Amino acid sequence: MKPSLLLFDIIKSLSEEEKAIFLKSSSLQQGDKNYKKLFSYLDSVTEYNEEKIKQHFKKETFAKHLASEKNQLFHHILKSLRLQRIKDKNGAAVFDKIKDVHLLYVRALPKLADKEAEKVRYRANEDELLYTMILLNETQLNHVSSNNYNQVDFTARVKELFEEKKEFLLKISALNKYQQLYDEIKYYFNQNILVHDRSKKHLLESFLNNPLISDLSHANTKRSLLLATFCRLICFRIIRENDKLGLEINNAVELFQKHDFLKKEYPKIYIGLYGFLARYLAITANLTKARAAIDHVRALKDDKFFQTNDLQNTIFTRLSVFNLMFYNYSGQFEKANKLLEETEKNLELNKDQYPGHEFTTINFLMFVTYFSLKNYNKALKCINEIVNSDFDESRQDLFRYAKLCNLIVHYELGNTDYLVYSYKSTLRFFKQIDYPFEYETAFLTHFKSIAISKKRPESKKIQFEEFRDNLEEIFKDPYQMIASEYFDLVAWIDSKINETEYADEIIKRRSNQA
Amino acid sequence: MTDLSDIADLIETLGKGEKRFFKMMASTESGDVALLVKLFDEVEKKEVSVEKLERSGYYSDHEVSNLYNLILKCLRHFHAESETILRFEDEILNLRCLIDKAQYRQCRKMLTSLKREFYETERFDFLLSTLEVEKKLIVYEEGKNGFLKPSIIAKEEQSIIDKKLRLLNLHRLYREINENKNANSDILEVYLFNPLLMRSLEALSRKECVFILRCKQDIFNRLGKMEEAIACEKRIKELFEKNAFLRDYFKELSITE
Repeated sequence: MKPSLLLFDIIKSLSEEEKAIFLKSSSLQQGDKNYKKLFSYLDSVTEYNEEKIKQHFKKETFAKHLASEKNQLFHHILKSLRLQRIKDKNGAAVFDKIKDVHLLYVRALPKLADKEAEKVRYRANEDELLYTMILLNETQLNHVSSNNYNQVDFTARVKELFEEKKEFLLKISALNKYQQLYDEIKYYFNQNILVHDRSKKHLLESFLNNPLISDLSHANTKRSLLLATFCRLICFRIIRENDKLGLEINNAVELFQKHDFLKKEYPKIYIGLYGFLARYLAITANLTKARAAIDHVRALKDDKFFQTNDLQNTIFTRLSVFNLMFYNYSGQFEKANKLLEETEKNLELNKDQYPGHEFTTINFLMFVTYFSLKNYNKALKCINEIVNSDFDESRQDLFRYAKLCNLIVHYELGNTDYLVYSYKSTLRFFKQIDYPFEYETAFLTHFKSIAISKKRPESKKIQFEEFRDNLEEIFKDPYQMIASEYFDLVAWIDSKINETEYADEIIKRRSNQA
Repeated sequence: MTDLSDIADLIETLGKGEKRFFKMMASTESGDVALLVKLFDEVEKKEVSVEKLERSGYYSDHEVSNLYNLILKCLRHFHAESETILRFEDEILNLRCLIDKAQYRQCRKMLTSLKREFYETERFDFLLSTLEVEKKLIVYEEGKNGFLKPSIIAKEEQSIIDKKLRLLNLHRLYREINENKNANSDILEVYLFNPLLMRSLEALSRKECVFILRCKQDIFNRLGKMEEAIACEKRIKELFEKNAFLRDYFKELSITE
């Protein structure tokens, strides 16, 4: 992307409040400011056009050196954003205050510098700002000789600072290891939410047996403790150990409640946690509380610590997933339907900014809603979005399931001719997969007899019943249960056997569960 | 708590330009700053002693503290470009702002150039802060094998932490040797076999090299092995000549050529 477009993008990303602060902060310099004129112009146009800019400012001298003016504007905007960050975020404010410590030492005012350093140290310790502590320690160590200590005090002070530095370096080192483990587990989770064979279960168990995760005494900061707890939580979710999952969710919620800074430092984990909580409450038949957990995430949209573009994107994607998941699971398809228009619009507009796994999940959940409401054309559109995306970047388990659901939608649409071609293509896809789920293989076998071979309708019912019996047997293995949580394959089969609607079968199941 | 004598000490160190900048900056501040400027002037002119000003009760603790913070803020802005450390801190905050605004490519561009500068000048403390930002950035960057990036950064971070721990231990050892004035030749010889001083210089950072050479130089000097001491001194000089940042770094630690 060209620098000019970057400048344009950053101006467009500013909120009204940020713009006002930028204009105010630039009033520090006297006289006319060309970059301010340029800012107002770029803010008023809808697309960047260099020729039009030059034309607009043809009478101004700065039009001849527009590049340097743009550069200046970019740096002034950054400065203004920096100042706002310092004002709004404790981490940034404390980081900025180290400058005072440095400046006071340089001015040969060591007592004042030490006083400031203690304030910084207190605030940095409160929020476990480990990297800031290292910078502060380094600043003090560099200037310790300016204090004119006597030899004994000097030695004691240096020793103290050495000890502190060692302590924080070891804390960062431990945090680094936890972060690495968390990234590995999260990557696995984003691609495959559920394990589907014993070997993958062992992989997850090896994570759980890692001493850093199994023995929490290694977590020497609250940050490390949160990451360790979250690693355990994800592992238990993947291997479907719901009781242990509930326990870890409670631990993580408690950590966030006790230590406010964790929410600001790990906002995405915070958002994710409430999703886990909502799901856990829903499957333990606490639908009202589950709804409240989702509403808690919705409220974060207006929380001042969650106003960055990135966090707003995360809230949007996660909220879409939580809401659709909740309504689809509880059989409230009309309510889910009301969300779809806005979700589709937003997905189309910001597609490039959302991670691949979120794109797959949202499209899959939209498919389920449309399918339940018998809007098969729209359901097919969602499925196509998934199957036409990059397999490696997607939620792979749902991508595979989407391939099967594609056949179901065509079956419902009565696209008999197309089904034969589509079935063959799906079969080819699954032949390339190393470890197909057992239910996927069963689906392909039964679906062939149901939809591809030309049999009379009455024998189809028998085939659906056979398919159901086979699936019931397979689903006794908890690692094959993916089908039930997103799109309930058994409910679809039941709707065929009982000649009812898929939506009715889901509602029936939930009332039985309650 | 800040008192007026702290402010007086601080104002005493201000240059003309800084004072002018303070007035200009105060005029753009929101809230009632007139009183703060008045207090600033009174302390600066010294017509009334600080003790009298304190006793007058005309200025509350809150105002005194506000003035102190305003002067510090003004100094931060005034020296933002000229003081290297201040510039580094601003650059790191810029990276965070760009991530907030989803300007990932620009952030990567600036981060790469900043990291290069930190590696060249061996600013490991700032490198750690930069890697903290980079860990957040990679979450949004496109491209396959994205899952490998966190472990690559984690390894990079660990190697910097190891360097910092080694530097810390070398600094400690240097102080210990220096403070142990009564050490006899046997003890000094033992120091020479300290694993920290036995490492090959080629694999180490330039800061570590200077620490090792400086320790050895001191030991050789005290052992009367002048030839070896001079050889160490010569290598330190070479390193200092080639790398200007080393001179500043060791000067701050009161360790000179």
